[in-house]
Amino acid sequence: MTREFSDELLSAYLDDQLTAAERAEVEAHLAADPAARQMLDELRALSGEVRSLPAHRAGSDFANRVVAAALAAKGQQPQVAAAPRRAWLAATVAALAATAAAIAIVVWQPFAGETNIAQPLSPIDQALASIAEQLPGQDEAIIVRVRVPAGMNPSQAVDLALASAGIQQRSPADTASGAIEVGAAYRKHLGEKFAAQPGVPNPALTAGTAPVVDAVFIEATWEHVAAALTELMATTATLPEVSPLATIAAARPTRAGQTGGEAEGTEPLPGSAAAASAEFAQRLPAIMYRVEKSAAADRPAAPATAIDAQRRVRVLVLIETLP
Amino acid sequence: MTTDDPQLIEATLRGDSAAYSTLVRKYQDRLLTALVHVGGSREEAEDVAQEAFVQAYLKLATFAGGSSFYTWLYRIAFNAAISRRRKRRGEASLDQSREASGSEPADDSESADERLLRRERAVQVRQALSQLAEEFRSVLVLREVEGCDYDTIAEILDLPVGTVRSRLHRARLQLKEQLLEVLAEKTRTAPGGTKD
Repeated sequence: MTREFSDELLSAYLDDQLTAAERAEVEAHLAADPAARQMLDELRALSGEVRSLPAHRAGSDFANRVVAAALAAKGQQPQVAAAPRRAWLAATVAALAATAAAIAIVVWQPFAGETNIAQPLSPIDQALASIAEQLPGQDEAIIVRVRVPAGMNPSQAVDLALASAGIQQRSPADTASGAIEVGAAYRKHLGEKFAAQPGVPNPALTAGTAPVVDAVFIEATWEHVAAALTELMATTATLPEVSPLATIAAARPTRAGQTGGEAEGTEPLPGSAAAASAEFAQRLPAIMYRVEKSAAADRPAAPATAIDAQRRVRVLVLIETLP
Repeated sequence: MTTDDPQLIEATLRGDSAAYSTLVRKYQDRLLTALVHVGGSREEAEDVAQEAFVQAYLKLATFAGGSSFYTWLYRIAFNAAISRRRKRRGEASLDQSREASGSEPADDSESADERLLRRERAVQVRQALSQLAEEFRSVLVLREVEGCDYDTIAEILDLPVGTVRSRLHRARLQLKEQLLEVLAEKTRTAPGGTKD
Protein backbone atom coordinates (compact mmCIF):
# COMPACT_ATOMS: atom_id res chain seq x y z
CA MET A 1 0.00 0.00 0.00
CA THR A 2 1.41 3.36 -1.00
CA ARG A 3 1.22 6.34 1.32
CA GLU A 4 -0.84 9.36 0.34
CA PHE A 5 0.95 11.85 -1.91
CA SER A 6 1.60 15.20 -0.28
CA ASP A 7 1.10 18.24 -2.54
CA GLU A 8 3.86 20.10 -0.79
CA LEU A 9 6.30 17.79 -2.50
CA LEU A 10 5.36 19.53 -5.74
CA SER A 11 6.62 22.86 -4.41
CA ALA A 12 9.83 21.30 -3.22
CA TYR A 13 10.18 19.54 -6.60
CA LEU A 14 9.78 22.88 -8.32
CA ASP A 15 12.50 24.30 -6.08
CA ASP A 16 14.79 21.33 -6.62
CA GLN A 17 14.88 20.74 -2.87
CA LEU A 18 14.04 17.03 -2.74
CA THR A 19 16.06 13.96 -1.96
CA ALA A 20 16.57 11.50 -4.81
CA ALA A 21 13.90 9.20 -3.38
CA GLU A 22 11.38 11.99 -3.04
CA ARG A 23 12.13 13.18 -6.56
CA ALA A 24 11.47 9.72 -7.93
CA GLU A 25 8.21 9.58 -6.01
CA VAL A 26 7.09 12.95 -7.41
CA GLU A 27 8.00 12.07 -10.96
CA ALA A 28 6.07 8.83 -10.75
CA HIS A 29 3.10 10.69 -9.38
CA LEU A 30 3.30 13.36 -12.09
CA ALA A 31 3.40 10.69 -14.79
CA ALA A 32 0.18 9.17 -13.47
CA ASP A 33 -1.83 12.22 -12.42
CA PRO A 34 -2.78 15.05 -14.84
CA ALA A 35 -4.11 17.16 -11.94
CA ALA A 36 -0.72 17.06 -10.29
CA ARG A 37 0.91 18.15 -13.56
CA GLN A 38 -1.52 21.05 -13.78
CA MET A 39 -0.81 22.07 -10.20
CA LEU A 40 2.92 21.99 -10.89
CA ASP A 41 2.42 24.23 -13.93
CA GLU A 42 0.38 26.66 -11.85
CA LEU A 43 2.99 26.73 -9.09
CA ARG A 44 5.69 27.36 -11.68
CA ALA A 45 3.74 30.24 -13.23
CA LEU A 46 3.08 31.74 -9.81
CA SER A 47 6.73 31.47 -8.91
CA GLY A 48 7.61 33.28 -12.14
CA GLU A 49 5.19 36.09 -11.31
CA VAL A 50 6.80 36.74 -7.94
CA ARG A 51 10.31 36.43 -9.33
CA SER A 52 9.56 38.99 -12.01
CA LEU A 53 8.49 41.65 -9.53
CA PRO A 54 10.58 44.71 -10.25
CA ALA A 55 13.74 45.35 -8.33
CA HIS A 56 14.19 48.45 -6.25
CA ARG A 57 17.23 50.65 -6.33
CA ALA A 58 18.56 52.57 -3.38
CA GLY A 59 19.26 56.24 -3.95
CA SER A 60 22.71 57.25 -5.10
CA ASP A 61 23.50 58.66 -1.66
CA PHE A 62 22.28 55.67 0.33
CA ALA A 63 25.69 54.12 1.03
CA ASN A 64 27.16 57.45 2.10
CA ARG A 65 24.27 57.98 4.49
CA VAL A 66 24.58 54.51 5.92
CA VAL A 67 28.30 54.79 6.51
CA ALA A 68 27.90 58.24 8.07
CA ALA A 69 25.18 56.87 10.38
CA ALA A 70 27.26 53.80 11.23
CA LEU A 71 30.32 55.89 12.05
CA ALA A 72 28.19 58.23 14.15
CA ALA A 73 26.63 55.28 15.98
CA LYS A 74 30.02 53.89 16.78
CA GLY A 75 31.12 57.31 17.97
CA GLN A 76 28.25 57.39 20.47
CA GLN A 77 26.14 59.84 18.50
CA PRO A 78 22.80 58.09 18.51
CA GLN A 79 20.94 61.15 17.35
CA VAL A 80 22.55 60.75 13.96
CA ALA A 81 22.35 56.98 13.87
CA ALA A 82 18.69 57.01 14.74
CA ALA A 83 17.79 59.80 12.36
CA PRO A 84 14.48 58.96 10.73
CA ARG A 85 14.16 58.83 7.00
CA ARG A 86 12.53 62.21 6.65
CA ALA A 87 15.50 63.87 8.26
CA TRP A 88 18.03 62.26 6.01
CA LEU A 89 15.76 62.71 3.04
CA ALA A 90 16.14 66.44 3.51
CA ALA A 91 19.86 65.93 3.54
CA THR A 92 19.60 63.80 0.42
CA VAL A 93 17.70 66.45 -1.46
CA ALA A 94 20.26 69.00 -0.38
CA ALA A 95 23.01 66.64 -1.48
CA LEU A 96 21.26 66.20 -4.80
CA ALA A 97 21.40 69.91 -5.45
CA ALA A 98 24.98 70.02 -4.26
CA THR A 99 25.89 67.12 -6.51
CA ALA A 100 24.36 68.91 -9.48
CA ALA A 101 26.69 71.78 -8.73
CA ALA A 102 29.51 69.29 -8.42
CA ILE A 103 28.73 67.95 -11.88
CA ALA A 104 29.14 71.43 -13.26
CA ILE A 105 32.47 71.67 -11.51
CA VAL A 106 33.60 68.39 -12.98
CA VAL A 107 32.50 69.49 -16.45
CA TRP A 108 34.55 72.64 -16.22
CA GLN A 109 37.51 70.97 -14.59
CA PRO A 110 37.59 67.61 -16.29
CA PHE A 111 41.22 66.96 -15.43
CA ALA A 112 41.24 68.41 -11.98
CA GLY A 113 42.20 65.09 -10.52
CA GLU A 114 40.42 62.70 -8.26
CA THR A 115 37.37 64.05 -6.50
CA ASN A 116 35.08 62.47 -4.00
CA ILE A 117 32.30 64.96 -4.63
CA ALA A 118 30.70 63.94 -7.88
CA GLN A 119 29.42 60.41 -8.03
CA PRO A 120 27.77 59.53 -11.30
CA LEU A 121 24.12 60.51 -11.14
CA SER A 122 21.46 58.54 -12.95
CA PRO A 123 19.60 60.48 -15.68
CA ILE A 124 16.61 60.60 -13.34
CA ASP A 125 18.67 62.04 -10.48
CA GLN A 126 20.20 64.57 -12.86
CA ALA A 127 16.78 65.69 -14.03
CA LEU A 128 15.59 66.06 -10.45
CA ALA A 129 18.72 67.94 -9.49
CA SER A 130 18.19 70.44 -12.31
CA ILE A 131 14.67 71.08 -11.05
CA ALA A 132 15.73 71.18 -7.42
CA GLU A 133 18.14 73.99 -8.26
CA GLN A 134 15.26 76.19 -9.34
CA LEU A 135 12.48 75.38 -6.92
CA PRO A 136 9.99 78.21 -6.79
CA GLY A 137 9.39 80.57 -3.91
CA GLN A 138 6.15 81.00 -2.00
CA ASP A 139 4.37 82.95 -4.72
CA GLU A 140 5.98 81.27 -7.66
CA ALA A 141 5.50 78.07 -9.60
CA ILE A 142 7.91 76.10 -11.72
CA ILE A 143 7.05 74.84 -15.19
CA VAL A 144 8.51 71.43 -15.97
CA ARG A 145 8.65 69.74 -19.35
CA VAL A 146 8.47 65.93 -19.59
CA ARG A 147 9.14 64.36 -22.98
CA VAL A 148 7.69 60.91 -23.55
CA PRO A 149 8.11 58.50 -26.46
CA ALA A 150 5.82 58.97 -29.43
CA GLY A 151 2.86 56.67 -29.82
CA MET A 152 1.85 56.38 -26.19
CA ASN A 153 -0.84 58.01 -24.14
CA PRO A 154 0.89 59.19 -20.98
CA SER A 155 -2.29 59.79 -18.97
CA GLN A 156 -2.23 56.34 -17.38
CA ALA A 157 1.44 56.73 -16.52
CA VAL A 158 0.71 60.09 -14.90
CA ASP A 159 -2.15 58.58 -12.89
CA LEU A 160 0.09 55.75 -11.70
CA ALA A 161 2.92 58.13 -10.83
CA LEU A 162 0.65 60.42 -8.80
CA ALA A 163 -0.96 57.52 -6.97
CA SER A 164 2.42 55.96 -6.33
CA ALA A 165 3.67 59.21 -4.79
CA GLY A 166 0.57 59.52 -2.62
CA ILE A 167 -0.72 62.60 -4.45
CA GLN A 168 -4.50 62.81 -4.73
CA GLN A 169 -6.09 64.14 -7.89
CA ARG A 170 -8.65 66.89 -7.61
CA SER A 171 -11.44 67.48 -10.06
CA PRO A 172 -10.36 69.40 -13.17
CA ALA A 173 -13.35 71.65 -12.46
CA ASP A 174 -11.91 72.77 -9.10
CA THR A 175 -11.45 76.50 -9.52
CA ALA A 176 -10.15 77.14 -6.02
CA SER A 177 -6.93 75.16 -6.13
CA GLY A 178 -4.79 77.83 -7.74
CA ALA A 179 -3.98 75.55 -10.70
CA ILE A 180 -5.87 77.65 -13.22
CA GLU A 181 -4.10 80.82 -12.10
CA VAL A 182 -0.70 79.18 -12.51
CA GLY A 183 -1.66 77.93 -15.98
CA ALA A 184 -2.85 81.42 -16.97
CA ALA A 185 0.37 83.00 -15.66
CA TYR A 186 2.43 80.57 -17.73
CA ARG A 187 0.40 81.26 -20.88
CA LYS A 188 0.83 84.99 -20.29
CA HIS A 189 4.57 84.49 -19.83
CA LEU A 190 4.77 82.58 -23.12
CA GLY A 191 2.67 85.20 -24.90
CA GLU A 192 4.93 88.01 -23.69
CA LYS A 193 7.99 86.13 -24.79
CA PHE A 194 6.66 85.79 -28.32
CA ALA A 195 4.87 89.16 -28.35
CA ALA A 196 1.59 87.42 -28.97
CA GLN A 197 -1.76 89.13 -28.69
CA PRO A 198 -4.78 87.24 -27.44
CA GLY A 199 -6.85 85.88 -30.34
CA VAL A 200 -4.36 86.97 -33.00
CA PRO A 201 -2.43 84.23 -34.83
CA ASN A 202 1.26 84.50 -34.12
CA PRO A 203 3.48 82.49 -36.50
CA ALA A 204 6.52 82.95 -34.27
CA LEU A 205 4.68 81.44 -31.30
CA THR A 206 3.38 78.55 -33.40
CA ALA A 207 6.78 77.88 -34.93
CA GLY A 208 8.71 78.26 -31.71
CA THR A 209 6.54 76.07 -29.51
CA ALA A 210 5.07 72.60 -29.59
CA PRO A 211 1.73 71.30 -28.30
CA VAL A 212 1.51 69.19 -25.18
CA VAL A 213 -0.46 65.99 -24.67
CA ASP A 214 -1.08 66.33 -20.95
CA ALA A 215 -0.89 69.13 -18.41
CA VAL A 216 -0.89 68.49 -14.68
CA PHE A 217 -0.58 70.96 -11.85
CA ILE A 218 0.88 69.59 -8.61
CA GLU A 219 1.02 71.26 -5.24
CA ALA A 220 2.92 69.15 -2.76
CA THR A 221 6.13 68.86 -0.83
CA TRP A 222 9.27 68.58 -2.92
CA GLU A 223 9.61 65.04 -1.59
CA HIS A 224 6.26 64.06 -3.11
CA VAL A 225 6.89 65.91 -6.37
CA ALA A 226 10.27 64.25 -6.76
CA ALA A 227 8.71 60.84 -6.08
CA ALA A 228 6.02 61.42 -8.71
CA LEU A 229 8.48 62.62 -11.33
CA THR A 230 10.78 59.69 -10.61
CA GLU A 231 7.94 57.24 -11.05
CA LEU A 232 6.77 58.99 -14.22
CA MET A 233 10.24 58.87 -15.73
CA ALA A 234 10.73 55.25 -14.76
CA THR A 235 7.40 54.30 -16.30
CA THR A 236 7.34 56.25 -19.51
CA ALA A 237 10.75 57.05 -20.69
CA THR A 238 13.29 55.08 -22.58
CA LEU A 239 15.39 58.21 -22.27
CA PRO A 240 14.09 60.30 -19.39
CA GLU A 241 13.89 63.91 -20.42
CA VAL A 242 12.56 66.16 -17.71
CA SER A 243 13.66 69.74 -17.46
CA PRO A 244 12.55 73.00 -15.87
CA LEU A 245 11.24 75.52 -18.42
CA ALA A 246 10.60 78.58 -16.33
CA THR A 247 9.77 79.89 -12.92
CA ILE A 248 6.81 82.22 -12.99
CA ALA A 249 5.16 84.48 -10.48
CA ALA A 250 1.70 83.30 -9.45
CA ALA A 251 0.30 84.23 -6.08
CA ARG A 252 -1.23 81.48 -4.01
CA PRO A 253 -4.99 81.70 -3.65
CA THR A 254 -6.32 82.88 -0.32
CA ARG A 255 -9.79 83.13 1.13
CA ALA A 256 -10.82 86.22 2.98
CA GLY A 257 -12.28 85.70 6.42
CA GLN A 258 -10.98 82.20 6.76
CA THR A 259 -9.88 82.09 10.32
CA GLY A 260 -10.95 78.68 11.41
CA GLY A 261 -12.92 75.62 10.45
CA GLU A 262 -13.58 74.37 6.99
CA ALA A 263 -16.13 75.42 4.43
CA GLU A 264 -18.75 73.09 3.06
CA GLY A 265 -17.68 69.88 1.46
CA THR A 266 -14.80 67.61 2.13
CA GLU A 267 -12.08 69.41 0.18
CA PRO A 268 -9.78 71.53 2.31
CA LEU A 269 -9.77 75.14 1.31
CA PRO A 270 -6.62 76.43 -0.32
CA GLY A 271 -4.72 78.41 2.21
CA SER A 272 -6.18 76.49 5.13
CA ALA A 273 -4.08 74.37 7.42
CA ALA A 274 -5.65 71.27 5.93
CA ALA A 275 -4.85 72.39 2.39
CA ALA A 276 -1.30 73.15 3.39
CA SER A 277 -0.80 69.56 4.41
CA ALA A 278 -2.62 67.90 1.49
CA GLU A 279 -0.67 66.79 -1.56
CA PHE A 280 -2.77 67.24 -4.64
CA ALA A 281 -2.70 67.36 -8.41
CA GLN A 282 -5.15 68.74 -10.90
CA ARG A 283 -5.39 68.13 -14.61
CA LEU A 284 -5.55 71.16 -16.87
CA PRO A 285 -6.76 71.11 -20.48
CA ALA A 286 -3.66 70.18 -22.48
CA ILE A 287 -4.96 71.94 -25.59
CA MET A 288 -4.39 75.30 -23.90
CA TYR A 289 -0.68 74.74 -23.34
CA ARG A 290 2.44 74.70 -25.48
CA VAL A 291 6.13 74.37 -24.69
CA GLU A 292 9.07 76.11 -26.30
CA LYS A 293 10.94 73.87 -28.67
CA SER A 294 14.35 74.84 -27.35
CA ALA A 295 13.80 76.46 -24.05
CA ALA A 296 16.28 76.88 -21.30
CA ALA A 297 15.07 77.89 -17.88
CA ASP A 298 14.38 81.61 -17.72
CA ARG A 299 15.99 81.97 -14.36
CA PRO A 300 19.65 81.20 -13.83
CA ALA A 301 20.27 78.26 -11.57
CA ALA A 302 20.32 79.30 -7.97
CA PRO A 303 23.39 78.48 -5.93
CA ALA A 304 23.10 75.01 -4.49
CA THR A 305 21.73 75.35 -1.01
CA ALA A 306 20.07 72.95 1.34
CA ILE A 307 16.58 72.10 0.10
CA ASP A 308 14.02 70.97 2.60
CA ALA A 309 12.27 67.86 1.32
CA GLN A 310 9.17 69.08 3.12
CA ARG A 311 9.23 72.40 1.30
CA ARG A 312 5.91 72.91 -0.42
CA VAL A 313 6.17 73.65 -4.12
CA ARG A 314 3.85 74.22 -7.03
CA VAL A 315 4.75 72.61 -10.31
CA LEU A 316 3.02 72.68 -13.68
CA VAL A 317 4.08 69.54 -15.55
CA LEU A 318 3.65 69.77 -19.32
CA ILE A 319 4.02 66.53 -21.19
CA GLU A 320 5.25 66.62 -24.74
CA THR A 321 5.59 63.76 -27.18
CA LEU A 322 9.03 63.23 -28.65
CA PRO A 323 9.07 63.71 -32.42
CA MET B 1 39.36 47.89 -4.42
CA THR B 2 38.41 44.26 -3.85
CA THR B 3 34.76 43.24 -3.85
CA ASP B 4 35.43 40.02 -1.97
CA ASP B 5 33.31 39.96 1.20
CA PRO B 6 35.87 38.54 3.66
CA GLN B 7 38.48 41.08 2.55
CA LEU B 8 36.01 43.95 2.73
CA ILE B 9 34.95 42.85 6.21
CA GLU B 10 38.56 42.58 7.33
CA ALA B 11 39.33 46.04 5.95
CA THR B 12 36.23 47.46 7.66
CA LEU B 13 37.29 45.98 10.97
CA ARG B 14 40.67 47.67 10.51
CA GLY B 15 38.82 50.99 10.32
CA ASP B 16 38.50 51.40 6.55
CA SER B 17 35.01 52.90 6.19
CA ALA B 18 35.34 52.97 2.39
CA ALA B 19 35.45 49.18 2.49
CA TYR B 20 32.15 49.10 4.33
CA SER B 21 30.72 51.56 1.85
CA THR B 22 31.64 49.07 -0.89
CA LEU B 23 29.85 46.30 1.00
CA VAL B 24 26.77 48.50 1.38
CA ARG B 25 26.72 49.35 -2.33
CA LYS B 26 27.13 45.68 -3.18
CA TYR B 27 24.02 44.61 -1.29
CA GLN B 28 21.83 47.69 -0.89
CA ASP B 29 19.55 47.13 -3.88
CA ARG B 30 19.11 43.43 -3.17
CA LEU B 31 18.26 44.07 0.46
CA LEU B 32 15.95 46.97 -0.33
CA THR B 33 14.04 44.92 -2.91
CA ALA B 34 13.54 42.04 -0.48
CA LEU B 35 12.42 44.36 2.31
CA VAL B 36 9.89 46.14 0.11
CA HIS B 37 8.39 42.78 -0.83
CA VAL B 38 8.39 41.48 2.71
CA GLY B 39 5.78 44.08 3.35
CA GLY B 40 7.09 47.46 4.23
CA SER B 41 6.53 50.51 2.15
CA ARG B 42 9.50 51.73 0.14
CA GLU B 43 10.06 54.38 2.79
CA GLU B 44 10.00 51.86 5.61
CA ALA B 45 12.16 49.44 3.66
CA GLU B 46 14.83 52.12 3.28
CA ASP B 47 14.66 52.83 7.00
CA VAL B 48 15.01 49.16 7.84
CA ALA B 49 17.83 48.66 5.34
CA GLN B 50 19.70 51.59 6.82
CA GLU B 51 19.13 50.29 10.34
CA ALA B 52 20.33 46.84 9.34
CA PHE B 53 23.50 48.10 7.71
CA VAL B 54 24.26 50.23 10.77
CA GLN B 55 23.62 47.31 13.13
CA ALA B 56 25.74 45.02 10.98
CA TYR B 57 28.57 47.56 11.11
CA LEU B 58 28.37 47.76 14.88
CA LYS B 59 28.27 43.96 15.26
CA LEU B 60 30.71 43.15 12.49
CA ALA B 61 33.36 41.88 14.89
CA THR B 62 30.91 39.19 16.01
CA PHE B 63 30.27 37.94 12.48
CA ALA B 64 31.78 34.49 12.56
CA GLY B 65 31.62 33.78 8.86
CA GLY B 66 29.56 30.63 9.36
CA SER B 67 27.10 31.89 6.76
CA SER B 68 27.50 34.45 4.00
CA PHE B 69 27.64 38.10 4.98
CA TYR B 70 24.40 38.72 3.12
CA THR B 71 22.53 35.94 4.94
CA TRP B 72 23.72 37.39 8.23
CA LEU B 73 22.79 40.92 7.16
CA TYR B 74 19.42 39.77 5.90
CA ARG B 75 18.65 38.12 9.21
CA ILE B 76 19.38 41.38 11.02
CA ALA B 77 17.19 43.28 8.55
CA PHE B 78 14.41 40.72 8.65
CA ASN B 79 14.25 40.83 12.44
CA ALA B 80 14.22 44.64 12.36
CA ALA B 81 11.40 44.62 9.80
CA ILE B 82 9.32 42.15 11.79
CA SER B 83 9.90 44.10 14.96
CA ARG B 84 8.69 47.30 13.31
CA ARG B 85 5.64 45.67 11.79
CA ARG B 86 4.61 44.14 15.08
CA LYS B 87 4.71 47.56 16.63
CA ARG B 88 2.17 48.86 14.20
CA ARG B 89 0.20 45.79 13.28
CA GLY B 90 -3.01 46.26 11.40
CA GLU B 91 -2.02 49.07 9.09
CA ALA B 92 -3.47 48.88 5.62
CA SER B 93 -1.07 47.58 3.03
CA LEU B 94 -2.84 48.58 -0.17
CA ASP B 95 -0.83 51.75 -0.42
CA GLN B 96 2.30 49.73 0.03
CA SER B 97 1.52 47.61 -2.98
CA ARG B 98 0.78 50.64 -5.06
CA GLU B 99 3.80 52.45 -3.84
CA ALA B 100 6.17 49.58 -4.24
CA SER B 101 5.76 49.14 -7.94
CA GLY B 102 9.50 49.39 -8.35
CA SER B 103 11.79 51.28 -10.66
CA GLU B 104 13.46 48.73 -12.81
CA PRO B 105 15.42 49.99 -15.81
CA ALA B 106 13.44 50.23 -19.00
CA ASP B 107 13.71 47.41 -21.48
CA ASP B 108 14.29 48.97 -24.89
CA SER B 109 12.58 46.12 -26.68
CA GLU B 110 9.35 46.74 -24.78
CA SER B 111 6.79 49.32 -25.82
CA ALA B 112 5.52 51.88 -23.34
CA ASP B 113 2.12 50.19 -23.29
CA GLU B 114 3.69 46.81 -22.61
CA ARG B 115 5.67 48.34 -19.80
CA LEU B 116 2.51 49.80 -18.28
CA LEU B 117 0.76 46.45 -18.48
CA ARG B 118 3.70 44.73 -16.84
CA ARG B 119 3.77 47.29 -14.07
CA GLU B 120 0.05 46.91 -13.56
CA ARG B 121 0.50 43.16 -13.24
CA ALA B 122 3.34 43.72 -10.79
CA VAL B 123 1.06 45.91 -8.70
CA GLN B 124 -1.54 43.11 -8.65
CA VAL B 125 1.02 40.53 -7.57
CA ARG B 126 2.32 42.90 -4.92
CA GLN B 127 -1.21 43.52 -3.71
CA ALA B 128 -1.89 39.79 -3.48
CA LEU B 129 1.43 39.25 -1.71
CA SER B 130 0.63 41.96 0.80
CA GLN B 131 -2.60 40.16 1.74
CA LEU B 132 -0.70 37.08 2.93
CA ALA B 133 0.07 36.48 6.56
CA GLU B 134 3.54 37.66 7.47
CA GLU B 135 4.87 34.12 7.99
CA PHE B 136 3.86 33.16 4.44
CA ARG B 137 5.07 36.36 2.83
CA SER B 138 8.49 36.09 4.41
CA VAL B 139 9.12 32.58 3.26
CA LEU B 140 7.93 33.37 -0.27
CA VAL B 141 10.15 36.43 -0.58
CA LEU B 142 13.16 34.55 0.68
CA ARG B 143 12.58 31.78 -1.84
CA GLU B 144 11.34 33.65 -4.92
CA VAL B 145 12.94 37.07 -4.62
CA GLU B 146 16.09 36.14 -2.74
CA GLY B 147 16.52 32.71 -4.32
CA CYS B 148 17.45 31.18 -0.97
CA ASP B 149 17.51 27.40 -0.65
CA TYR B 150 15.46 25.81 2.12
CA ASP B 151 18.42 25.47 4.47
CA THR B 152 19.18 29.19 4.23
CA ILE B 153 15.53 30.11 4.73
CA ALA B 154 15.46 27.87 7.78
CA GLU B 155 18.58 29.57 9.12
CA ILE B 156 17.26 33.08 8.58
CA LEU B 157 13.79 32.40 9.97
CA ASP B 158 15.03 30.06 12.65
CA LEU B 159 12.69 27.27 11.57
CA PRO B 160 13.07 23.55 10.87
CA VAL B 161 13.59 22.81 7.17
CA GLY B 162 10.40 20.72 7.13
CA THR B 163 8.41 23.70 8.31
CA VAL B 164 9.94 25.85 5.59
CA ARG B 165 8.87 23.30 2.99
CA SER B 166 5.27 23.04 4.12
CA ARG B 167 4.93 26.75 4.79
CA LEU B 168 6.25 27.65 1.37
CA HIS B 169 3.74 25.39 -0.33
CA ARG B 170 0.86 26.81 1.68
CA ALA B 171 2.11 30.33 0.93
CA ARG B 172 2.00 29.62 -2.79
CA LEU B 173 -1.53 28.24 -2.58
CA GLN B 174 -2.67 31.29 -0.64
CA LEU B 175 -0.97 33.64 -3.07
CA LYS B 176 -2.79 31.96 -5.92
CA GLU B 177 -6.11 32.49 -4.14
CA GLN B 178 -5.32 36.11 -3.36
CA LEU B 179 -4.27 36.81 -6.92
CA LEU B 180 -7.57 35.44 -8.18
CA GLU B 181 -9.38 37.70 -5.72
CA VAL B 182 -7.41 40.74 -6.84
CA LEU B 183 -8.20 39.98 -10.48
CA ALA B 184 -11.87 39.44 -9.67
CA GLU B 185 -11.99 42.73 -7.80
CA LYS B 186 -10.34 44.50 -10.72
CA THR B 187 -12.93 43.05 -13.11
CA ARG B 188 -15.77 44.14 -10.82
CA THR B 189 -14.50 47.69 -10.53
CA ALA B 190 -13.41 48.15 -14.16
CA PRO B 191 -15.51 50.53 -16.28
CA GLY B 192 -18.32 48.51 -17.82
CA GLY B 193 -18.22 45.90 -15.05
CA THR B 194 -17.70 42.26 -15.75
CA LYS B 195 -17.11 40.94 -19.21
CA ASP B 196 -17.99 37.58 -20.64
